This record gives sequence, C-alpha cells and structure tokens, in this order.
Amino acid sequence: MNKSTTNILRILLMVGLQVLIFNHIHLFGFLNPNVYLLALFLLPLDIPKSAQYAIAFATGLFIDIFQFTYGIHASACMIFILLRPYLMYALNVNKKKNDTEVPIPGKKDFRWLLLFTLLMTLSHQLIVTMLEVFSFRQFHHTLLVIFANTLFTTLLILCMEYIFIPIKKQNL
Amino acid sequence: MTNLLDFLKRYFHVLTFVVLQVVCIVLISKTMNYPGFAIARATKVLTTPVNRLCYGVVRHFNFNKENQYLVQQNLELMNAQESNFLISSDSVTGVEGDYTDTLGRTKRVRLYEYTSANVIYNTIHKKNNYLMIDKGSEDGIEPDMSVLSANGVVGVVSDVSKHFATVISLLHPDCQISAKVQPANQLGTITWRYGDPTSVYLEDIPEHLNINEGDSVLTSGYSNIFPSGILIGTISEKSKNPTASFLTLKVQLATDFNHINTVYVVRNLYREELETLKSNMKEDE
Repeated sequence: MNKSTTNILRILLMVGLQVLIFNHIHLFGFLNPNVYLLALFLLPLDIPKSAQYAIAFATGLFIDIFQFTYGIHASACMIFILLRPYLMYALNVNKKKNDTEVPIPGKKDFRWLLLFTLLMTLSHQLIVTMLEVFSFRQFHHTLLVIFANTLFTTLLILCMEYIFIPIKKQNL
Repeated sequence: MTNLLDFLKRYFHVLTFVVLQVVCIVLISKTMNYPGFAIARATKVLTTPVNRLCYGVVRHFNFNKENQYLVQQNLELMNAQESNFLISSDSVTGVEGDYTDTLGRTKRVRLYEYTSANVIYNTIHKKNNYLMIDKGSEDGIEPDMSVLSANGVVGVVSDVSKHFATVISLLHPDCQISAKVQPANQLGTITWRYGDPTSVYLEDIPEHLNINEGDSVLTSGYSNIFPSGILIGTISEKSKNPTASFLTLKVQLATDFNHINTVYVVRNLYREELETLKSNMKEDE
C-alpha cells in the first residue's frame, strides 16, 4: 500500500470512528472528544501545504455535516494545519529547519509528544468551542469545557498512538 | 507574467488557506443565527446612537409626506365624528329595515363634511385680519363655510375665486360667532377687539352664573356654519360690565394664529335649506 492510500484510509477510518462512536460520547454532559484529530496529527508534512489545507477542510466539513455546525470544525482543522509546523519548530530542541518528519512515538519522546499534542488539541478545541458558544457569558463554564475536552482528547489520542503505531527501535 | 506565476506558486498554500477559511466563515454565518444576534447585541452600544442620530436627520426630509398622511387621516377621523351626523331614528324605536341599513346600523344623515386646505396668506396685527387658503370654488369651497385648525376655530370663508378663497379670521371685528361656555352651558357671542391677536371676548353672559377661569368656550352649533362643540378657547379673565348685569369674559384662543398652516374647511350640507327657514322667520317679524 502506498503512502497516499494509507493516509486516505486512515482519515476515513478516523472520521468514521468520530462520527459513529465519539460523537455519541457525552461524558458529564459536555465531554466530547475530537479523536479524529489523530488523522491530522499523522498527516505527512512533506505534501504540498495547499493539499494539506484542502484535506483538513474536507475532514472538518465532514465532521461538521454530522454535527450540524457547518464550517466550525473545518475552520479549526485548517488552523490546526497552519499551526502544526510552527509549533513543531518551536518545540524542537535542535532547531532543525524544515523538519518534515511526522512526530510519532519512536521518533519523539513521550514528554515532547504530550506537550505537542496538548497544545495542538487545545488550539483546535479553543476555536471549535468559542465559535460554537460565541459568547463570553458564563465564561468559566466555557473554559471548563475547553480544558476538559482538551485533556480527554489528548489522552485518547496518545493512547491510540502508543497502541497502534509500532515503535521501531531507534536511538533517540 | 512569469513573476506572477512564481508568486502564485510560492503562495498558493496561503491562497488556499484564505479561500477555504472564507468558505468556513460563510458557512458559519449562513447556517448559524446566534453569532449574528450576539454581534448585533454587543455592538448595540455603538449602533443605536448612530442610527438614532441618522434617523433623526433623515426623518426631516419625510415630514412633508408624513404631514400629508396625517392631514388625510385627520380628515377621515373628523368626517367620522358622531357630531357630523343627524340621527333620524335609533334602532330601538325605529322599525327595522326602515331606519337601519343592510348591516343593521342606524341610518344617519350627514350634516357636516370636512376638506383640508393650506394657508397661503395670513395677517394678525391689522385691524381687519384675513387669511387666504389654496382651495377655491373648483374644490367645492363656498362662502360661509367655516374654517378650523387642528386646535380650534379659525374663521369663516367670505369670498371665493376659482382656486383660492378668502377667510375672515376670528381676529376681525365683523366675525361674531355664537358660542357657549362649558360647564355652565350658557350661550354668548364671541367678538374680537383690535390689538391682541391671542384672545377674544365672550359677551352677554349673565352675572349670576358660576363661571371660572379655565372653563372651555365651544361653538354652539346654532349658526349653521360651525359644527357644535368645536373648541374656541379657554376663559382667562373675568370682568363685570359696570352698566349691565352681564359679564365680559376674556377668552384665550386655542388656535395660535401666528402659526397656521393646515386648516380644515367644513361644509354644511343642508345650509341652504336651513337658511331659507331662517329667512322665513325674519319675514314674519
């Protein structure tokens, strides 16, 4: 299987999982993890940026269609893709320019991955929730939703990464 | 050309990003109402005073039209007033069908009819004051029709040309109209004395009647010119006539003769008939 087929299948799988399973999880009434972000985390960095944006838009819009929030997830996903290389560059210790290696377990250590996933998920969740709520009333509740969802999503994404991605032994 | 292509190639991803974001925003704003309301509510602090200011200026340009509508509406309301009709019979005593229309309402005979006109000439400080209005015989104006303003009585039509008419205003020594003072319900005659354009005098009121300052003076309706119950003014001063046992009451006019624009001309539809009867009375004397 070549690389593009793998990616497309992964995106379809993650979107399907999100729509069929994770959209129906409403823990404590507001916890609703956006696990489909894993597909965007694992999207290769070396394909053209416009293609990345288009993929993110399509993915987000697909999620939107099932949640009746047309445009919100699409917008958040594109900003996610926009931020990804900059955050990777900012978090890299050796400041290697044009790092196109997808950060997965085995390539990066756990602490790096945790911080990266946390920040990326937070940015996505922030946009989604703020666009959906669109008000600063009861802001503490909005913040609670944002942070709880971020933590939950991060937990699930890291679990899935460590469970399903085979770690090739490398010298870190 | 190559530069342009190079530029597009280099920044194609930015273009994609912007275009797709715009699509997102359009989708959000098209499908979700709440953000629009929220923004409108948040920016109300700014938009409300600006809109109010803007509307406050713009509405002045529409006053002309607005006035026409209001005059039209006033006319309709004045024409619908109960006091314009003679009620031939009521539905209690009358035989059904004879005195009621097809809807079962009492048949009424209209006595007074209103039309509107604009004042084009007006004096108040002369000894004999006149007004001119922009309607004449072509519009159905005839001499001896009464002229009212929105506030009260203005005068009586004296002369008519094709398109204009002259009105003897209340501020004219010859304009003596029959009036009654309420609540005493006593008849008197209104006369004007040269000098003060804001008040007239009500004469022939017996001394024993309890009349206070502030009582209303209305038209009596006995002259066949004015409908009854039209406000002339309120009593502002009471003075005793030293020679006779009659009071002379100073009446503050309800109509501001300085600022008359739109007036209503009242036609008595049975005036000729009534005049004939009256002239017969005089011949008998």
